[in-house]
Amino acid sequence: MLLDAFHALLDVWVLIAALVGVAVGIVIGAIPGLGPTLAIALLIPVTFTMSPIPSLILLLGVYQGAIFGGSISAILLNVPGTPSSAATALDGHPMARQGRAGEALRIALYASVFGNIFSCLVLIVLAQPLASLALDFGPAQMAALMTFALIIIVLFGGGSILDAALMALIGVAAGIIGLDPIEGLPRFTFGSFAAEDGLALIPVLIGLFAMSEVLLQAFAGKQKTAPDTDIGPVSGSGTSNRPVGWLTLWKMRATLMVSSIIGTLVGILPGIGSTVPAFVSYNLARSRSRDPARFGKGEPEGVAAPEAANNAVTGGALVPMLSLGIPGDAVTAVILGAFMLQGLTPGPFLFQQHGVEVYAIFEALILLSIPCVVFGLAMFRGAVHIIKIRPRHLFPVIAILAIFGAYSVNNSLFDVAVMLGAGGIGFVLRRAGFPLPPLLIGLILGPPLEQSLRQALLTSAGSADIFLQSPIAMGLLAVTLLCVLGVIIRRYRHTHQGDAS
Amino acid sequence: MSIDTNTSSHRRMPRFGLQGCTCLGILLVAAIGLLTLHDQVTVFDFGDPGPDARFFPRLVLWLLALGAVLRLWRHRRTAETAIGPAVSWIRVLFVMMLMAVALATMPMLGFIITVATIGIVLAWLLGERHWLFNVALPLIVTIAIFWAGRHLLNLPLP
Repeated sequence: MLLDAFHALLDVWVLIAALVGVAVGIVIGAIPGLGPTLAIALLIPVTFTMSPIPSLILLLGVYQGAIFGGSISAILLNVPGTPSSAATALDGHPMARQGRAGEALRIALYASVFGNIFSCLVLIVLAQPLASLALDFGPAQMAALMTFALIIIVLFGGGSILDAALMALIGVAAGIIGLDPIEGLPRFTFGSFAAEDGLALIPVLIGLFAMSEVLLQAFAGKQKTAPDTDIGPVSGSGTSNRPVGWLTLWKMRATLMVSSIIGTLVGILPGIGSTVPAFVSYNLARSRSRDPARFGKGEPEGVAAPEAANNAVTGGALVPMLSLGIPGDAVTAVILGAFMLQGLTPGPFLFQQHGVEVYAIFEALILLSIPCVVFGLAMFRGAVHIIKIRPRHLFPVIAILAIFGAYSVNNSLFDVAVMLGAGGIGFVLRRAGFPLPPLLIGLILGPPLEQSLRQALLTSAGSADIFLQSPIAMGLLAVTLLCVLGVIIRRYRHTHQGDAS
Repeated sequence: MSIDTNTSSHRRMPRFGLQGCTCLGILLVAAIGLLTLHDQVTVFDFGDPGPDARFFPRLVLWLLALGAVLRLWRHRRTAETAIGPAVSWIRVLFVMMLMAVALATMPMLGFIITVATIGIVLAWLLGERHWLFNVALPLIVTIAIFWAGRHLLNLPLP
């Protein structure tokens, strides 16, 4: 299988897709405000006419490139290109201020590649056995699994639990629009024939992540301030820049390994994303350091730890997405949409039906590290110019791409209207500080959750005993309940201690 | 890039603000959904045991309404983000209206004219005044995308 998959990669279009994906990803990730979610959402229409392997490699290349690219603006400008790069800025920007920007960028690049390769190896080892396990799942088990995933996203997604729950419910409610999954009758279509297909995923996510960003910029209006790039040499030729080689990485081996493990494990859990592991790894690296006082003042390990962790999330997040069809965060939700558009429905049957394609993608994820290093090193000099692109030049282009992307999914203006509506809702929710990833994941998991739940209840003639008779469903529901109880107890103790102090 | 609430918002933190309004909106949508459930979801009863097509929407809409009420009650004394200056909201509404009009007229006027207009007006609203970036850039990008969509992706763009 692995050899067949490797043969599938020996195609010039795969190479072009990998190179273009990584380069575009680094550029988009480097621009503050444009993350991998927006980049992949806008690029999905480009992949319609491509075959599955090159198209998915293009999008995964963008994902990898953008995660690393986020560190460029974090280091040079102290403005994280992606939220997960915020921890990188803590030591990366002080290094840049000391004239060691080139050194910081190289460490970020090599740590990113290390984290990525580590998590991809874990993905290869874990995804297939997990999918095989899920093959035994019936409707009751699938319903329990999706409930577990949604609750985990709400509980551990960060921020207010109530806000996350509201967003997940909005997503699930939006998934109801269209034909009923069991009886095929229209629901909440208000007589519209176009609405019977439901809200297509791609226009909704383009609206939520791209159009809402455009509207946020329109809300902010004119912005005359140019980014501050008062930093030392980026190319690495500066006198303050120390060379970064194997020896430097060897000295950081423990930090890189621990951060990669944290990133991968957290990535496997749905809903947490890459920001939390980046900060956890940073704090752990600081606490393990012989001289913690150097952290925050330009310590190379303070750059390596978060970068290894947030890139390790890439492979980790793909484990539940590919094997169970459960996206861990917004980016994997978008990638899940891309897989479905290519006819590769993530879930237990993916490995049986499209094994070669899946293993080719796994191998490509590791091989993508090569263009990532090459382009990363080559683009350091141009990075300063990329991050200076002004919003007033960028966002009109994003609006045009968003309209084109939404239309191209089904050649339908209804989808453009859905995108615009999702953009308006996303704008209000983002301004109000509500998290969008639970909404998107609720929209994805809502229809299969309803289908599994109703199938299970129809099988048992409406009795909930079917969930109690299956050990797997019981186990999943018990774990869900334990997680809820754990969070309630922790919050209670926290409040109690706060009151006491 | 998440636009942080501006400094004036932080200066004036009202009791009832954007979060409260959003929750009221969610509550209203859930209530409308529950009220129209019978009309919008037809059920043919063949005597099958188990839940019908209204079961799941009813459950989700009740939970949504409950969540919105809980959020409003829980944060009733918390200072919220100010709704923001009216000018900014008018700008956003203008952009959305412009896009809606462009969408409605796209079958008649075509993709290039409508979408390029959106790009040009948006660039102007964001403060771009140089003709090269205000007019030429959106126009060139639209034409390039139209050409690529038509000839490379075989999309029947209007």
